Amino acid sequence: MENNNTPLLLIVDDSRMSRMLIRAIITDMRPTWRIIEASTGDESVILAAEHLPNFVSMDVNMPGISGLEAAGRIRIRHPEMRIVLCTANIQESTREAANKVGIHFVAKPITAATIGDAVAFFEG
Amino acid sequence: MDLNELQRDALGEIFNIGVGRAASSLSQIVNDTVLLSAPEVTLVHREDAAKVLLGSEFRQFSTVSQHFSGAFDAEAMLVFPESNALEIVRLMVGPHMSVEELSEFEQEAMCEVGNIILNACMSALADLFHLSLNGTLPVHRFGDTESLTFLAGSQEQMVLVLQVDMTISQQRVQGHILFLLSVVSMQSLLDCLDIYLREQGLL
Amino acid sequence: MTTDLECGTLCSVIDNLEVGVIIINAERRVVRWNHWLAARNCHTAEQADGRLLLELMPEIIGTRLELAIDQAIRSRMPSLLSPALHGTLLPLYQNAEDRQRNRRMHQLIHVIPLVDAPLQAACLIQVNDVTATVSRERVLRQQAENLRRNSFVDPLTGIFNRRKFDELFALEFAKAQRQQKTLAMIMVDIDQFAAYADWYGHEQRDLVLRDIAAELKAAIQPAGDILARFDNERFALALPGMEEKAACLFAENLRLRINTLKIANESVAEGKQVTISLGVAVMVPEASADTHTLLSSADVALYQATHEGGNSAVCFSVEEGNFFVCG
Repeated sequence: MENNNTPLLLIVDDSRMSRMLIRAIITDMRPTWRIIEASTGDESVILAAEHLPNFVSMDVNMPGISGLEAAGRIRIRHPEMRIVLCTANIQESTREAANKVGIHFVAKPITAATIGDAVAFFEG
Repeated sequence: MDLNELQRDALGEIFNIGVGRAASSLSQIVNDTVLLSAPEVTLVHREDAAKVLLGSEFRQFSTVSQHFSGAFDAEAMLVFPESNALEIVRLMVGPHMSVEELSEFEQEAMCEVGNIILNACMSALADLFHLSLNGTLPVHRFGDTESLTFLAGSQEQMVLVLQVDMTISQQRVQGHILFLLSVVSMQSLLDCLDIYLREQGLL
Repeated sequence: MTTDLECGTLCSVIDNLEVGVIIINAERRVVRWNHWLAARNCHTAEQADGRLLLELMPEIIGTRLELAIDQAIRSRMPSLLSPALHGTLLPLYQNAEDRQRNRRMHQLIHVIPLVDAPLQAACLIQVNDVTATVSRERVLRQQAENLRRNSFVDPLTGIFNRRKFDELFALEFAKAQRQQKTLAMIMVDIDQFAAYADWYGHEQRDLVLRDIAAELKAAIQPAGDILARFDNERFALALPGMEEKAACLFAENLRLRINTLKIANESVAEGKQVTISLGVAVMVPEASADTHTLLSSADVALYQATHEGGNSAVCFSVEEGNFFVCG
């Protein structure tokens, strides 16, 4: 986008509270980051292509395509984007599916600690 | 009394954390992926709760209930149409079951499934709100909407209704989680929620 | 009025109960291990006293019982572990012979938080022997399993049958109606499949049906989408919340997926492989609409796709009343 100097984060979650929480914690930890939001997997794929974010925080259970699927689609087109799955679905199968495609995984609830983990992955 | 948009969204998200954990426990038991989601939360008066259940065009229900008390008192209940409940137990137990009448074991198994889901939902609330709630052991019942005793009564009460979608071994079953609270308890719950949202800087 | 019983009497009562009782403290150390339990396990009450429960019974580690104990002690939530789902979790035996043969009793376990003096006694684990009932149940169970599965699963493909589809579809439709959300419907047909079956025979035909069903199943989101064998070679998909554009993309994607399977088909003149046609229709059902409107819209779209040469996905726009090719 216009200003490429600071990292751009795309937050994908169907819950407004979760988006607000992630935004608040990130703004606190990394005040310079720019943030955009999507509330569905489909929307996230479009926004990712349009704005080319550096990082994506992705929920799994959403109406429409799942976060796992959306992450997969984004990953195919933009392998350089770092994607974190942020979800209450903590089953081994989800974890494995995420690991297979090189996607990091943090368990909800969203707290400073879980977001800190995500940020470490983004910057790592 | 109604939920505002943020409260509805927040409760939905908190309960989804709960059912996510429950799904993980259930998947451990069946050794297979269990998907569980509670996509929408609504708040209705007790008299209208029956309509929500009747809307699903089933008459016979299998219910598992537990009572929780503490900062607020709530009767928590997992409700499945009877045929769906049978389905869940069979999918969980594996292919050893007959269509014959629901045995004592299947009732206990259903009780356990309900116990896992309800405990997980209430724990998610208790954890995030930093409170401690006491729970009773789960009780399983069958009945039609008329015999669901909790839906009758004179005191004004509110019901938080969550629709649940459960998928085990690729089979999908739908049901509801109900939390029955007095108006006072409902207000306490919402107060706890607002405190939580405020602590997070969202209010 | 009840009389307060002294401690010694209560302990004697616990020891004489016809159920197993384990009481542990907040550190998960055993503070009570009753006679019933000692008689059915290799540890006596004296041996068990003061030891970590997970050390005495390492089989608990990693099971739901471990979680249930945590939940009781940390969150005061009680749990029930049913014999149907856990069977013979604890190493308990009815007699010496069973122990020798490692034949454990079937158990119903209750895990109950004790909140009055959690440091000394935090959690009660109660075990019932239900072996006799379990054996009786086993005999009853065997027969009707197939009957039941057949009532909603298509035996060939393992996905839902038409009956179950109709039931689930009606529920989703009513939900979309209530919430005023979109519901997408895709009908799938295997192109010129009768000719395929004539050429290759029924066994091969069944294999293809199974492969295609599996491919479709892999593409859907199992938590929300519905996939069923609609009739002979037709499959139906209902996708709650999916918009028209996404449904078209999805249908086109399914068509391509089946193409990449490259299932040889010498019975057709062109392409020489098995292809599918798809009909898509999407709507936000009005209060007056019924499931038939959506089903038949997808059906006419499928008809259009099939009759324009097959191997295509066509959408019937319910609003505009016209057809267009997806993708």
